[in-house]
Amino acid sequence: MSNKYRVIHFINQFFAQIGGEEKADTPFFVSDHVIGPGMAFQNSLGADFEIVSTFVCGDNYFSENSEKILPEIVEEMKKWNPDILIAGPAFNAGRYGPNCGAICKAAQEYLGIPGVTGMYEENPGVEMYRKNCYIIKTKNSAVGMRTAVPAMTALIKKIAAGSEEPDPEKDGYFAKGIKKNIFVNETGADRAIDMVINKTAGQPYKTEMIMPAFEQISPAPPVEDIKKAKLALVTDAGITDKMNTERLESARASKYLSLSIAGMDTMLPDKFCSVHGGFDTTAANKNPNVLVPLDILRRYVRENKIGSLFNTLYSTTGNGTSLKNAQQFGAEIAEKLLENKVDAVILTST
Amino acid sequence: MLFFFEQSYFIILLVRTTSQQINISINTRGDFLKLEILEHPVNEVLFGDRSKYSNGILILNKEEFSRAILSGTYGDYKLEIQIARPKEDVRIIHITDVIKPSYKPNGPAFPGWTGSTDCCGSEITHQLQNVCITQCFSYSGIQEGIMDMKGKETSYVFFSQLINIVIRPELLTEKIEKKDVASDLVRMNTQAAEYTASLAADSSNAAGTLFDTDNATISGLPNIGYAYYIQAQGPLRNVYIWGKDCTKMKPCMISPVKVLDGAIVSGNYIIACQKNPTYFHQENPVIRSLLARDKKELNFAGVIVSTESSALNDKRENAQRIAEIAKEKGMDGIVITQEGGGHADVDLMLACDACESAGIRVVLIANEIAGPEGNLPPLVSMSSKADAIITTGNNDEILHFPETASSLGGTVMGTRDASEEFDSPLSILYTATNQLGVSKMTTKQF
Repeated sequence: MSNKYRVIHFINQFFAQIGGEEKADTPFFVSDHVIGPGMAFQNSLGADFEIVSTFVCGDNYFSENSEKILPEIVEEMKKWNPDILIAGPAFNAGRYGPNCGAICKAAQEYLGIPGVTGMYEENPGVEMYRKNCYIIKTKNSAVGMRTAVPAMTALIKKIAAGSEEPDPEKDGYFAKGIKKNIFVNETGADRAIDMVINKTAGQPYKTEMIMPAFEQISPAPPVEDIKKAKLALVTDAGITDKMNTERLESARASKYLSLSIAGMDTMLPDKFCSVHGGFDTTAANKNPNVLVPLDILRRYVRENKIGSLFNTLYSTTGNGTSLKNAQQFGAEIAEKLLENKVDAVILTST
Repeated sequence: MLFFFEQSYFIILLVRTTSQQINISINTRGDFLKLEILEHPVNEVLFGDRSKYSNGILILNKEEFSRAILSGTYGDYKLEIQIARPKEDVRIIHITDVIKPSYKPNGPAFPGWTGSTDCCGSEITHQLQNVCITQCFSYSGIQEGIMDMKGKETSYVFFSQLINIVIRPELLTEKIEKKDVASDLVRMNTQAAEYTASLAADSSNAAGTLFDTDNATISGLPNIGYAYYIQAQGPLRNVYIWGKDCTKMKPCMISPVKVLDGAIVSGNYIIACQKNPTYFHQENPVIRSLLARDKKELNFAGVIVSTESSALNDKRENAQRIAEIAKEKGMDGIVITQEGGGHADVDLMLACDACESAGIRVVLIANEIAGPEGNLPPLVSMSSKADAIITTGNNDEILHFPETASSLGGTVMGTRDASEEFDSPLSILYTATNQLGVSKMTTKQF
């Protein structure tokens, strides 16, 4: 074995010089030759890299059979023992782009090797796969091959050398949507005052934090007959049993609890407490009903104002808890509520 | 900005202050109208028979220091005092607050805590440089911080570069109300800070900064103000102004010089990485930077202080009031800082909207809770008007903490030995993403 970095290159039927749209159903195959733009990549990459094989698949064949052929492609890739995958570049080709993204993602996930591709900013593959691979910004047609190849090669060499972190601005790829803490030359306070001077003067300024679009949740339809409905209590107020036997965190929760309220008319302060670290729990620990209104709901059941109450209270701590954990807790709790035929939930937050 | 006494070399910082303050300060002595902060350098802290400061060496008599710290507390405490120096192989845990040693010969350095008369913002203040009082305390319902004195993690924590006088009270009283414990913690820390700095009061080896005040402005420069949110959510999560908890305070002006002179003291002990310890109120970097640029790049148009209420209507009202005051004071632009997350993000965005709607250009300083990979929404509240935000870093990034030779402030963290190696989100690292913009950290997209 040589010491060269082993490279697999993925292209479509057009760049493999098989044909255009009429050959878009060309099935996946592997060639041990360097084909089409592979030549330019091999020249540009130089003697430390070797394109060991070219993977070819027609645009339509890939997108219509991706579930079936991706595992096949992964197995085939493993045989070549690659260090890196190059896909495309795909420019503005609407099927080729996502296909390049998909194969790069698979290379990262199943072989642990980086994938580098290139696309025009409007290619749907950019938004679909920018998180999973390096997508170099290219022109919108193959005219841009001359600039795309050196840009992709430069990034590949940087990744291979491993001495410097790739940088979307310097290396010209679409930011992967991951953020890291870094140190700069000025303090946050000084940067803020520079920014406010520029903003006030109508000079350009660049925010350091881009606002994401929040997911919109459409509300469930209204409960048809509340007098027959089964209600449940769910809270992020950090309620635990008095001993906190399951060690629910006071912040950054990693779990939620299922607490039985069967046979209880009220939230007794010697049975429950809140371990939430984000608010003053003194009042809540004297009377936990202020966090979840068990006392009132039991009375409503007796007075037939509501049908019944589900006997499990789900509780977590909503204090610095990550969105990912919160989404997972939410989905699991919702599933359990559905299984138990709960019609409506009183969700209290602190 | 600094001068040495021997050379009598003055550079004066001129500060535009406002006449409206939440507490009218009366200068009873009349011989000083300006504030002069004298910083005495400390190169070593040792324990000895007699407390004194000379030639950059601070010597502390432990018994006398302990008595000064524990004076007037509600509860009984056992007190441990230790020193941690930069580059020592030690981890400090259970950190609740850090304070800068400060002493005023003619009045309390921390009005409302170490005395009631008030010459805050005027006369002379002695401070110790290169040293801090670091309080460590374990108590249910708070989230104390940690810092390492050696290794890579020191770059995240300003105090890792200072000599830490670590005071660790342990509560002995069984029946004591939370509010009294909260008050005791602040009392002990302010008393420790005042005692240590008092030892340097006779020393002439100080670098000084003179803060003068006037209302003059230079035409053609933008009028830039500062809206300073502080946390006020009950005992152990309160910040105090002149010793008062601010839960019922409405937004108002506060003199920036008074802020630098001990008017604001922290008693907020939640989320270690994103809180504003007393030290950073005393050294507020936004105020410092505005003062340094006053009449050069901008006219400093004043500081509005407000709490982050836990009720939505109060949040709206406070935000509106901040915008009204800013408008009254003729601010063209404003920097807004928060303390804490979640709730505090809502205040930040409401104030941003209110000020932008009033025609005042806004820059926000905030930290992020963007998940370990930095790919999740950074704040819990957002506004389309918030188009100029400085980020002080992502709380959730995972760091590796190496094994240390020993620990101060306690020996156990959760269930593990405090000096063991472990991986943890940045959030436990004390003041790592401080929201006053102390550090040079930001986030970058990759």
